[in-house]
Amino acid sequence: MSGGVYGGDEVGALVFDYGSFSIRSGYAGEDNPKSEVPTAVGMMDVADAEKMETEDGPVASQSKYYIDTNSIRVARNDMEMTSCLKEGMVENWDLFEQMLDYVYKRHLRSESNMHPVLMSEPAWNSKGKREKLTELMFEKYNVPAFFLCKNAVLSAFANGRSTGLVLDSGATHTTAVPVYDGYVLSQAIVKSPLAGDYISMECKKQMDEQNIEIVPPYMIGSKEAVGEGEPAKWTKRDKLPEVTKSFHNYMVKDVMQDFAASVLQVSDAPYDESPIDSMPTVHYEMPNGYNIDFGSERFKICEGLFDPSVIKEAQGNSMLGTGHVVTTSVGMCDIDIRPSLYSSVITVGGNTMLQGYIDRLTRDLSTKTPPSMRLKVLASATTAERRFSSWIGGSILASLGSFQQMWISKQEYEESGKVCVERKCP
Amino acid sequence: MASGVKVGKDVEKQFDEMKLGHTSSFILMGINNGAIEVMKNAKKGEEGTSYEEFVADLPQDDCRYAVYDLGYTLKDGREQEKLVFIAWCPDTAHVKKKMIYASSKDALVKKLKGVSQQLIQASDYSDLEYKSVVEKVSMSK
Repeated sequence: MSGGVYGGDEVGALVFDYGSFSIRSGYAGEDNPKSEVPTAVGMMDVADAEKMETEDGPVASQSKYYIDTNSIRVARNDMEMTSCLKEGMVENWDLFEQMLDYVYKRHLRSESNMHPVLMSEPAWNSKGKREKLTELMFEKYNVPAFFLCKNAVLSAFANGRSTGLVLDSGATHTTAVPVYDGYVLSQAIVKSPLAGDYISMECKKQMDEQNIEIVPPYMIGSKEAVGEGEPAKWTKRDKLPEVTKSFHNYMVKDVMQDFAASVLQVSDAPYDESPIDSMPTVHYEMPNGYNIDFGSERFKICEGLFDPSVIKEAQGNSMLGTGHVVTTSVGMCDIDIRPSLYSSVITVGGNTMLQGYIDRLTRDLSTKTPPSMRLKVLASATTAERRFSSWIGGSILASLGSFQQMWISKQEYEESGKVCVERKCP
Repeated sequence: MASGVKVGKDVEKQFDEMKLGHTSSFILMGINNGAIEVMKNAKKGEEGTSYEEFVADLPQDDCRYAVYDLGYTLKDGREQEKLVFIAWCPDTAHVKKKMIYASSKDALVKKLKGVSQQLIQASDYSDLEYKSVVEKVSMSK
């Protein structure tokens, strides 16, 4: 790593970045997170306190949790899928701690009291939760120093901007967060539920409409290759446990996420059946072997992201399309800074990786921005820089030697308590 | 939130000379060894260097801070002069550079007493067109 170029004294800090899809973690100064653990966890209620099982053995707990990709994908009786986050903020602290324990032990393999921690948080995180997190890190994990950073600010900085509008489209929501001179303008944050999970849901609906059965891999015992469009030949696994609905839905969603990533494309103009019929089709094979070409569906599914009026169930609903999320947020800011926001629309988040997403957004915005303002939509070219932008930003920041004076040190925490987070990390 | 990068002493000194003595038409600054310094190898920006020459001096794939002594004429014919602060972060620069420059800007601007309140954030040469910069700067009082 080239942190040394900037006189970065090695502090060995850790960086955590949690989102509605996964928790990213790793050492500051590295280019990419060391681990990415799904935020979704399997949970089993146990009458008497049993043991928790992760990939490395049991830990005592009230509920039994299954954490990380390999554990949550095993079909088990009565395992419910849950998440420690709600609207991007930590809701289930017990579970959040379990996940941190797991990441420390299994992925980072380090002692928490040896490394300062920089953590990202959603721009709308509440004061109470920030203080609770600070308390947790110092009291339970005994970290030598801690810092909390708004993820939108980290993303903006990582794109070389201290002023800009950060459009983050993740799994559960799409948000527009205006950042001005390195500070979030929290009164102008706009959120919309049209994001990755919505796309997965639309894919599932489309499959139902075409009578395509989605069989997640956990149910399949064996399968044979079949020709295009022929009925699938597969057998069910023996002794399949009685899984819960939430588990089944999660596994179906997983298949749909893969489908969305490999097949879908956002049409560059508002969806119109006729020209799109002539677009090339994409072949996709379901886990059970059924395979077929997808044509106009590729575009139809994504359209709701940009034009919520095509969503059948949402008639009269006030959900905002992606372009509107941006313009509404900018419209809520002071008129003098609007031009600087429009000239730096920074797109981040996994859902923006949909093919054609950026092109469509640029097009939609250019029709909505006042002609006097310059519009520039920024998107990092590499997948990692776009999906992990806030982690990467945090990684660079925490590795700077000069940043050491910014941390909340253990001593400061002991002197002034958890409220110091408001002062040190605005 | 800031990076904690310090502003070197020569920055303020050179800036004051420029502000009071009009000794140069621009200063280029960069971050070196955890501090903001005046770029040594860059051209001095002698009084009278044209705006185009200044823009051409900005590197294509590296970040810089700059203060340019911009003279322009208002619509009503009055002549104005302003010290314009420019944060130059081209999209092609490495993410580490972009991160450090963006997060350290605030500390530098605070030290430069008397720069125009309208800060210019530029990521490509088109952001620095003379006309649009003048337009933006003349917005502030």
